[in-house]
Amino acid sequence: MVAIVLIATTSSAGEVRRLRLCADPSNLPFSSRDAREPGFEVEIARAIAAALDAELTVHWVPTAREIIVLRQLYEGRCDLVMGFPITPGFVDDKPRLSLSAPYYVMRQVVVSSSVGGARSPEDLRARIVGVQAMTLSDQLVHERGFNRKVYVTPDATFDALVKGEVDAVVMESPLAGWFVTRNAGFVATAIDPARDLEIGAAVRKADGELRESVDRAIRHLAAGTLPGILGRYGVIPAQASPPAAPLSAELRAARSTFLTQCSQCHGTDAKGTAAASNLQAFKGSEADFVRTVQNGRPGTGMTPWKGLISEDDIRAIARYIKQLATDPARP
Amino acid sequence: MVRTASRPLVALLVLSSLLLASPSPGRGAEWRDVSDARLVNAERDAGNWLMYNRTYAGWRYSPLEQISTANIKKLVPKWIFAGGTIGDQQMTPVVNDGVMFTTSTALAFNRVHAMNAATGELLWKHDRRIPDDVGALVRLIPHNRGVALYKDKVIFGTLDAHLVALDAKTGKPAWETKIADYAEGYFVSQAPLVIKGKVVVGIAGPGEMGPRGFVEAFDADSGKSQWRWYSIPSAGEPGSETWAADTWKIGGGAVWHTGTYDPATNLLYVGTGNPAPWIADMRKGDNLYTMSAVALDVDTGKMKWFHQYLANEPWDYDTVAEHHVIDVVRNGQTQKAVVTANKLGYVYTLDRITGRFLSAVPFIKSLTWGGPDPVTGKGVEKPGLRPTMGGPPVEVCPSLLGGTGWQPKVYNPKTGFLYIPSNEFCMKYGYVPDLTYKKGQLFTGNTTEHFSKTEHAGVLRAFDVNQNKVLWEWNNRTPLISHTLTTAGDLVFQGTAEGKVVALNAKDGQELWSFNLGTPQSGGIISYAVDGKQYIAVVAGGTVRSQVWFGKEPKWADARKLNFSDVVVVFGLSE
Repeated sequence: MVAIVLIATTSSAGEVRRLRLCADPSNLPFSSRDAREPGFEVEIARAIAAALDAELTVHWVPTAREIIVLRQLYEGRCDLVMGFPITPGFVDDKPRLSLSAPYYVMRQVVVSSSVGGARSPEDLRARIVGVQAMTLSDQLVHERGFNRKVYVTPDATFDALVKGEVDAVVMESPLAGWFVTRNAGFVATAIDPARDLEIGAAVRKADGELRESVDRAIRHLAAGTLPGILGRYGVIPAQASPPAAPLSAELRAARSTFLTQCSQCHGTDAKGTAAASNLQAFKGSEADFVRTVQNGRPGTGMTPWKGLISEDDIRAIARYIKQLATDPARP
Repeated sequence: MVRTASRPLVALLVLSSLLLASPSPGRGAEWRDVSDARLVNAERDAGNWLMYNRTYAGWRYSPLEQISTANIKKLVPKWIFAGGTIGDQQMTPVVNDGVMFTTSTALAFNRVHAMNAATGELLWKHDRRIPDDVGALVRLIPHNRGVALYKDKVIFGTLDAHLVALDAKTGKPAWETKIADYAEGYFVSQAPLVIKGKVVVGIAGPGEMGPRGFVEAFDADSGKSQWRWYSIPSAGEPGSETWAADTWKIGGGAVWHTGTYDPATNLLYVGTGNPAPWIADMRKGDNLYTMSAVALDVDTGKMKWFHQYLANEPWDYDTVAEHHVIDVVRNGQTQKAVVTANKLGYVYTLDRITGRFLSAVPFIKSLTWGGPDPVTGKGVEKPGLRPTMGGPPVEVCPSLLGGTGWQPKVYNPKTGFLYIPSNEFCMKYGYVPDLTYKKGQLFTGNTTEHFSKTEHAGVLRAFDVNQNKVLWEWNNRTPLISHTLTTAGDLVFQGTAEGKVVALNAKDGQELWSFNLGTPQSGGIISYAVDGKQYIAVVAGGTVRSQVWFGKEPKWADARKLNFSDVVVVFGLSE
């Protein structure tokens, strides 16, 4: 079925199963021509294509003006455009357009200092709030009557926050999340759920079967892949570990003890430093590990931990380190 | 016949005892009690070093001038004493009339030695065993910074949070007081300070282990507690509103460095440490009175004033460094001040009577966290430099060892310079994803890697306290986690982690002399005289934690390869 749909949407009549995406070459965090950091919408489109067993190609086109990018779609230079709000007002005046199921929810978000910053609309009352001009966030802040300072671009808005010109910024969640993952010391808090917008991908209305396939792919990816991608870009709060295979409660507790009591010398990856040995390369048995931790190594910086960390906890640390060695991506 | 023959001999004896500022104990001299008057006048007692910083003003300036820029090339080792420990030697000896007292510390014991300061001959030693269930921080950094002298007693704090007094002549225990429960993570690292018959001790442990920090005064004759001042107010007390919910109970604020004192104001000046845990979001609020200069009435322990350097501190930048009592001249006006150079990388000057902020000047270049407001002196952070829990590490300068660490700064009244062993380094600093308080375990929650962007991470700086600026610098490859001394002989002595001690011209920083100790210089450097001869004592042996601090920076490999062996090396002029 998928194959049939894709044949219908490819120019080469079934020889190549290909999904063509229209995306902006320079619009992070949404999309970018830079393969190292392609943007979350390109990554999601690639995941959709993979789920459909198709190859993704990208037609790069500036998306600042909606009409230009939609024309690319209507004229058949691409089959898919990401990032449209699923609202009656948006779809109703576009008879040639069809929108997929939502792949994320765009929220209004307050960004401010992680300490003493604003976390709710109430917190914004006595503060100066930065916004990007003519956006939904701008409208929100204006309607609520907050003390508002307007900037032309998201970058300029966040710059103002870093420089302390404004106390907080209200911004759409993808931009807010992108900023927070790159700038320590700030947190993003979603506000005003009434203004949440479901976001879907656009296809030509004529490609009804493609739309159904994309919907199915999105539902299929919703459990793990989508949150993973969105988390990495900060669009939704990042997961400490992939939701598909979380650490057991025992190993989570062991990680906490290891990071707090041991990582100062042995490193967060347990691979050691000039001062302390590589625990991932520990050759002995679990019993040897327990003995060494309990008694220390006299004459070195390895102090005895007997009485401070229980034997069970030391065993759990040993297992956590073993797990680290086999699956370093899950620290 | 006999009477006349003995006359010239008597005259000679009288004459020579005038010359001997400090008779040596080996020749039968009596112990001279260290009275309150002697402590107050310690500055003028040129041959002795009666307390941790030599004087209440905290200068570490020796008025002896026999060893000087003119003859420094003739300085040679006279004797060496091994304390028998490996790991942490951060002690400053004290000397009273030819008897030197030192400490050597390991996880198993606090050890005190008394020796002949002219020859190094051991007079007695005392080992106090330490229980094996002390908290995590003590296990990682078991150290002691020295003893206090009062009357005929030697007084020191222990790794199991006791205060112990020994008979100075025999080393026999005189009294002992439990200060706090070591199971909570409390211990004593600082040398106590005796003022007006009270032994004043600040507690170590809270900044990394959680419990509330405090300063306590004990009767020096009996060991009975006189007053205790907590660095964190309890619920309902003024300042408690700066702690969210119950965070004050495990909020840290150690007072782990020996304070200073001004008899004229009757105030004890102490610096307080960082709040706990290091994850600032877990203890919202300004967190008074951590990260502050505090003036306490010595008689009552009541706080007269405080100045908080940085509210809700996130980087372990303790401000415990000593507050030197100095009358500075600014714009032609003499100002009764305390001057401190601390981890934050600034030299702060405060009015020592009122605590009013007078000025702050940076003394390091690797400085990104922010700086004090020029009017209020309160720290203003550059946004974006606080890590998030489980988030990526943040690059911030200086490293948590600070623009200058606990190593005492020294002040020479002849030059008007404060000599600051300072550091140009940074850190990659992160917070762990989750942290819960467990009694006896580390309660910090940080991940840290130190590195330097400059060739020379250690810089000794001569800071003119009147002009309020750095006048000269002396460079060293590794950070200066070592001691400094200045003398009336126009000299500054500086130790290094590479195991050197160097002598510099106090006026211009020109290097005049150097000696290889073979182990990192890490404890005090003092000067004293016996039988009219001036000595320089240099304490070495390293700090085992420096292996961690220096761990990943290739530029500091030289300091990593040395062994750690606890020694006192005493120098004098060759004859």
